[in-house]
Amino acid sequence: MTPTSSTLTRSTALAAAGALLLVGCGSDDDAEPVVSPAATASAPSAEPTEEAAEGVQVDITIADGAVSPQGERVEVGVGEPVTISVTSDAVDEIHVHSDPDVTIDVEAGGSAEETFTIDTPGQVAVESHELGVTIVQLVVRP
Amino acid sequence: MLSGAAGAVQAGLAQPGLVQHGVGGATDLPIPFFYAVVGATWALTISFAVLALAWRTPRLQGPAPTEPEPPRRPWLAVVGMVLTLWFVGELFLGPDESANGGIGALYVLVWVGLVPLALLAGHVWKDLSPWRTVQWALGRLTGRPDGFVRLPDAWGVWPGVLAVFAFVWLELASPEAGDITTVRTWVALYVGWVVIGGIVAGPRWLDRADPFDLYSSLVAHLSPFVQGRRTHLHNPLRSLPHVPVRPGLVALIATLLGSTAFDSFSASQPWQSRSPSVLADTLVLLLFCVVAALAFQAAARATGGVSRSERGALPGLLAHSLVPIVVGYIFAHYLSYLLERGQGVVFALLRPTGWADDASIAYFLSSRPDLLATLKVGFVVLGHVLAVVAAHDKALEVLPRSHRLTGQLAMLLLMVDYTFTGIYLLLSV
Repeated sequence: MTPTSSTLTRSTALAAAGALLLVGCGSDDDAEPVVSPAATASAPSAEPTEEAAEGVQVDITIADGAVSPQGERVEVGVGEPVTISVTSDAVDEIHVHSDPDVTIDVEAGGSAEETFTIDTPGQVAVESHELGVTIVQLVVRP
Repeated sequence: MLSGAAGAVQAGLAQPGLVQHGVGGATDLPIPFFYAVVGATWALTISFAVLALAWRTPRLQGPAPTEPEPPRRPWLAVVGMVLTLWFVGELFLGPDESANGGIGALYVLVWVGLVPLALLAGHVWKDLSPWRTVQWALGRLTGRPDGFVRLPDAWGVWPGVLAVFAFVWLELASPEAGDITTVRTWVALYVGWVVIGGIVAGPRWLDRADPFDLYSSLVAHLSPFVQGRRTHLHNPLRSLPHVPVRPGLVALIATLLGSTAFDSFSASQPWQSRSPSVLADTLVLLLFCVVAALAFQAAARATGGVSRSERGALPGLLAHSLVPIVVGYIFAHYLSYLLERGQGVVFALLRPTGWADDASIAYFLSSRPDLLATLKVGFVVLGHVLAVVAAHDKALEVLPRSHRLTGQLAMLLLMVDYTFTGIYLLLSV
């Protein structure tokens, strides 16, 4: 899967083609980081573990009031197991906005892991309750 | 009953926290590139075909119906009051958490649901509105059915623009759109706004300052089935030009359009990865609305052969033609949200009856992404085509003969631009 080049080309082409309104209100915000989601999307896990081979692994680190990653897209298949591992220096609740939803509680200085599947195509946000940000957006394709 | 009902209904409504559109749950996949290209190509081609080949004398303009609108229908006023008591009762007496059905009732059933309702049934909101019933009752009590002051004509719909912005700010830029206390506070302020305003300025206040009533009356002009709140099958492009031209109309439409675009934009990867402050979210939301409005103002004025005052009147005269673009984009952006999230909201609202305890949402559209993408692009293109035709016909009426075609060009390009931006957002977010 090499979404990098195609995503970039599409976005740039269409942006150039017509999105004058967006250009008016900050095309820099919009066009520039398009590279990063695709570049990281297919490899959210730094070290491929055995579990990762079974599905998608997402490693989340919360430290000093910031979360990594933030706002990234992760491609997932319908019914494919998704494992989310959280390491945090503060108490937090991670919400996966699927139906049924998934909540992962993590203690200060602790870690937690949860594996689940998503059965409906769509985009599912994984959010930090304490920080109020979208950590990753699971792009669930059939 | 007040609390502790948590978990009983998890029918798709999210836990507390940052939630999109105020109600949690999944959002649509981006539309495939191919669909975007096909949609954009059709929009562009049809636009220039309309300009170059369509009729040369106005065909859709005509006098507004002169017969007075029928009075409010009491049975609908009762239905509206019952629904309101149900929604508001759930909001304030139901569980103190984000799964409270009143939150979804506001964001999904009221705000998004009023658009298809107005398309199908016209401005039935006027019959349903509980605030009109309250205003009527209080007006009888005070002996001033039309209030104590006459709302100045110069204010136009600006009070409504403010209120619409207050709603989209709540939904898209406030820190905790899905938080029960936030929504209760907003609804309490809204009720004060419509009830006190109704006592002071009478039904005109509800026509021009109630965001939902005003939005519904705007969309109702595009209903093919109802005109002037009477059932009457007709070409909606003939009733659309009768949108009353009042100060603030362009701002109202631009706020609806800009906020929907901001909703897409704020869910994009670059914006999510940034943790913008509430102030930044608010300013960018405002910027989207202002850019949409200023671009329209400029494009509507870009013609030769008119006097200064004629030029100043053009944006208002052409504003109605943007309504189909707004409606098309709202459908594209919120259709699955309305139909699927809406089921979850209804289940949550039914919680006290226990009827929906085992119900689960049927994801008919989400599980058919190709159908959904086709519909989304279809709505945007259809809205665009209706807008271009409406603007073309109005331009033939209001532009001087020698500038009839060139004077439309800027507006046509702007509509193509709005539509391409809409398609781009559906593609990339």
